[in-house]
Amino acid sequence: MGDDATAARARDDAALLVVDRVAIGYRRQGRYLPAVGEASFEVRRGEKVMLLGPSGCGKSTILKAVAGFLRPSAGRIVVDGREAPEPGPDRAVVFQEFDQLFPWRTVLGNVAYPLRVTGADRDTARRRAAEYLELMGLQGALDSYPHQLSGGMKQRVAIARALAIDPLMLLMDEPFGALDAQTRGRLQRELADIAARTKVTLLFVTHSIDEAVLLGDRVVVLAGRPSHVERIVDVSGLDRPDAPGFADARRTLRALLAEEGEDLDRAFID
Amino acid sequence: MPSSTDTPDAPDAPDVPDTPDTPDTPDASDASDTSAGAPAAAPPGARAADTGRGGTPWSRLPTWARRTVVFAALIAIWQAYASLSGVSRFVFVGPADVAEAFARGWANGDIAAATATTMRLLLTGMGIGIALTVVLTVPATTTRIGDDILTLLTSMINPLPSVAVLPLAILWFGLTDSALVFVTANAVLWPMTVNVSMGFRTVPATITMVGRNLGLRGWRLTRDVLMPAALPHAIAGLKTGWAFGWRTIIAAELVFGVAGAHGGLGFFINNSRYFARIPDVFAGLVTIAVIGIAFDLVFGWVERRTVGRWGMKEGAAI
Amino acid sequence: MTSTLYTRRQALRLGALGAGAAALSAACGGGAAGGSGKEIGIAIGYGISYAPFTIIQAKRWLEGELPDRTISWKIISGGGTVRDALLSGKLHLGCSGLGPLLIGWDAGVPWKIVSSLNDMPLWLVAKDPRFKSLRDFRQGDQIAAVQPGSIQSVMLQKAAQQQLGDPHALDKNIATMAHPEALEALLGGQIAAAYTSPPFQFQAVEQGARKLVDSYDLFGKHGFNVVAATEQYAEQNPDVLTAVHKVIARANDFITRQPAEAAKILVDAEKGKITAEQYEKYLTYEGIEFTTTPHGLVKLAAFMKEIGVIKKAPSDWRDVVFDTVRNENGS
Repeated sequence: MGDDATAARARDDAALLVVDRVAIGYRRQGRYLPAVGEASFEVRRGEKVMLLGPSGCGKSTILKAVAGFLRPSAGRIVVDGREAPEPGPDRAVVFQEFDQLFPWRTVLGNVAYPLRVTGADRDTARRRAAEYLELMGLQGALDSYPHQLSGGMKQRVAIARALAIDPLMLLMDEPFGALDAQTRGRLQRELADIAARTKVTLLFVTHSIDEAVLLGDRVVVLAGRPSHVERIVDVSGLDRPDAPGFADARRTLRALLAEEGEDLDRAFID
Repeated sequence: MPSSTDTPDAPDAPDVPDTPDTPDTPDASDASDTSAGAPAAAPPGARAADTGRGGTPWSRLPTWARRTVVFAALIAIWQAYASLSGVSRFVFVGPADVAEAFARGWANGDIAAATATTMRLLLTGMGIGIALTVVLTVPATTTRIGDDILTLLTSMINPLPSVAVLPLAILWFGLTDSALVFVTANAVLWPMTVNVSMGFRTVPATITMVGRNLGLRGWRLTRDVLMPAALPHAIAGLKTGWAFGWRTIIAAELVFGVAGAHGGLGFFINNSRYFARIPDVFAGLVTIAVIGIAFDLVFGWVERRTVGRWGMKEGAAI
Repeated sequence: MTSTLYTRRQALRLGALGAGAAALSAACGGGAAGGSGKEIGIAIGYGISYAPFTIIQAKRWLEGELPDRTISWKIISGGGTVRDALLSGKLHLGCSGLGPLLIGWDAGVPWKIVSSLNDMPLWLVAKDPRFKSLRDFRQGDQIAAVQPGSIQSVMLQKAAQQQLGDPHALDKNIATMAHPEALEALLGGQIAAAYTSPPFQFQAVEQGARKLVDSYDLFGKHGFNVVAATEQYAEQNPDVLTAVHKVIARANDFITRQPAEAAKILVDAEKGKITAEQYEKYLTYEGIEFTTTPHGLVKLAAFMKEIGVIKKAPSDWRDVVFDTVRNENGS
């Protein structure tokens, strides 16, 4: 924090997140297994950047490193002027897994708790939590426990929880990956809507080309094993399937991924 | 650890289709039923025997009726043996005598006093055991050395029948209540640490990451995230710990006898035997059984109110 | 050393429990009390109180008296355990202190005295010079007295009644301990005082403890351990009772006349740490008398009734004995 951070904040167009020649690997039984060979990209304030790549390409790994859960073995991650920050609520994460909610708290409690942790008093936390749950269409489920919710509702709660603490940026790790196609489509539209309204900065991991084009301003295409950034594609303004250029962008991304030999049926179908 | 998260694995339980309308929220008392009744969420066939349509007329009776009949039959056989076998009443007595001794013992305060003594020692021992469980398992989940120490200790001490340390306890504490408390705390501690550390170990990685994402670490992460997430195992551990502690304190009292004016239930039984009051021996045993059942009910209730209500019981999908 | 004693103590208690359980299972198995089988099960203990039986065993006198029977000697300590074993029919004759005997008789257990073994003074001993009389005991000063209801506890209560005016004044100080552990704990300073029995009380005094209470001062000369049997067994086996009484009388006579010889037999039988000289000294200690006649029984029972240990006391000592000793000069 301090002066550096203040200075960085002041420059609105400066990158909020800098991923600079980052390599990440795992150590397993004494052997080093590289997952990300070298990745560089930036996310500017208010920008929605999608990390797109086939399964196992290390896109979630990059997101976890940005969240602070993993340390890169080389390169730098700079968030708002701070290098390699510890995990913190400034980068709120929404995971793919439905078990990301605390089962022992109600829906309201799940959203209010992070607010309490980040300093809100009890009443403020509850009021704000209720607001964001309403935003996600969950006003009727405040007192339910997570196990009583459907998968889509659980993910909505998780998104409300992440948004409520007003993070510097939102990190989403295939949040809709485990949902059925119908629910996924609806949540994608809702997220696009909310993102547009709240101007949230978003780093979003997906293996779905359509999702990337619909939700993103730019798409960072990862390829290779260990992976590298194949290309960064601008998809801003293509927030509807019938928007002009949508089909082109999709074709471009598909071509990039097809070089990988990945079976894209699944990625393409939605 | 997070290597597998790139693959979009399917969730364990198929979800009810999402509806745009506000969800109906079942009230809290129905919570456990809801989870058990969710289609395909509960393992199929688990309750087939209970609900089985058809079957014998006996199996169609409600549970309480079947239990009552079995209970009454056992009592009748017991009474018949005591009355008809010619067995000495200083060796074996029937349920009528036992009921009379039970009522008298509770009315004149003898059994109540013995029960109070035993419960005081047991609860003190359990309190110490629980505190030590926290002291041992929290470092074990956060540090490697703590884990090594705990693993070694539990594997060495857990197999020991807990009453076996009584001679040592008497050596260290003399013939005092402290010796009994020590033995009980020891009995409670190890099954609890095994369960609780298992609970900590099996906390979903995502849940832990959610906590860390909020900037939580150390004690706060343990208290607010890991402990509640480990609660199903902690309650299981508490149940096991209680059962161990209960058996141990009774066994220890039987061996230990009395120090001072107050003897517990074990002493009550042994003393009743010494004074040839066999119905009292049985009444003491009945008291022990009833308390055991009562505690099981309490734990069951706590379980339903917490992990059951939260859908966390027995590894149910969270 | 101490730890092994505690272990032994625990083993004894657990053994007692086990015996009780065995008795119960035997009873459930249908083994009726009594019977007149070929085998005679006799429970005895170790120590100088059981010296007559040690002599009888060594010299095979009972086998001589009952050539057509098989004698099975068992070591069982504690009148309560012996009682349970007698009732289950696994055991036919057993030794019990007067306390458990009267407690059982009061509760209605159909058993009586076949013969007394001896009269012995029982002492309360303390080592810490702080304890000069019962007045010096405060809360937390533990007094080992075998078990509530034991003859030692009763003696302590009688002494408390005489010295402190309340028989229950020291009830809270009583700790349940068998004799060997009580001696060890007393000498080790873990307990304040111990009400035990010969030879432990003698050993305590030899090692620096002092006598605070002598039961002979409370009740006069009184019996200590007796041999008991169930009424059913006595009815069916009068010959066994007569023979047992006869050999005890013979052994008592032998111990009284030839204590040195008797001591040697005891040392050989026990292989313990006590020497023949010590044994001879204990056997001939002032006040110890080996006799088949129960003494002081009525007085003791009356006091036990007074303090509520038993509900009814025999008005005549003959109420609790078999014909074997009925014509002796008991009290």
